[in-house]
Amino acid sequence: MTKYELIFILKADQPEAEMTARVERVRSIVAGHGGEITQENPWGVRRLAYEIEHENKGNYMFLKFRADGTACAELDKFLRQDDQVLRHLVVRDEEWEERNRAAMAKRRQVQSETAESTE
Amino acid sequence: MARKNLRIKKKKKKRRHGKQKVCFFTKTGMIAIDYKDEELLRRFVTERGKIAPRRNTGTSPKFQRPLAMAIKRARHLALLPFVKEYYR
Repeated sequence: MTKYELIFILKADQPEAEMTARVERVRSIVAGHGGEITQENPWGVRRLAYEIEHENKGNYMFLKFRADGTACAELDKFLRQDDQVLRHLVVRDEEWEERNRAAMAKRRQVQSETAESTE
Repeated sequence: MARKNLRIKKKKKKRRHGKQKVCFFTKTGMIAIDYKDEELLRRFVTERGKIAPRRNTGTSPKFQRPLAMAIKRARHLALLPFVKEYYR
């Protein structure tokens, strides 16, 4: 079991039901590989930095899940074949935020300790 | 003797060294660069949207590599432009 992050961009003109349908499909694929979705975080409609398939806006969905690596290939295939999905990305969850917070807190602690010792 | 004459030293160009820049990530103690952190990544691309060279930003090699990776991922997801629109 590995932690993964998944982002996909749906065309902005699609109704919200289309989005939930895709999330449900992702959920069933992940469950099929013995995993589960741990976090669901819709970013909503955002402006794209550049035009994709003549679209200027996209509906972003960000998911975190745990599953075996075999799930990735299937998710990738599903999202690639979907005409309404502009972009998608499945990457290993490297827990950027948590690691940064820990590292920066440690740094501050070290700095305050050295400041004390020099006083 | 003839050989000696061949070894004429070329004048070395003098390079101007600016103030040594410190790597942002080393300084702040950040260890992981998130491709979703659009605001942070924007500081490390040029006006045209290219990845800024280390000589300009002062980023250490250790962090320039994951930084480049993060910027490329962000570009794929249309969070960052490949090229700014008005330059196209």
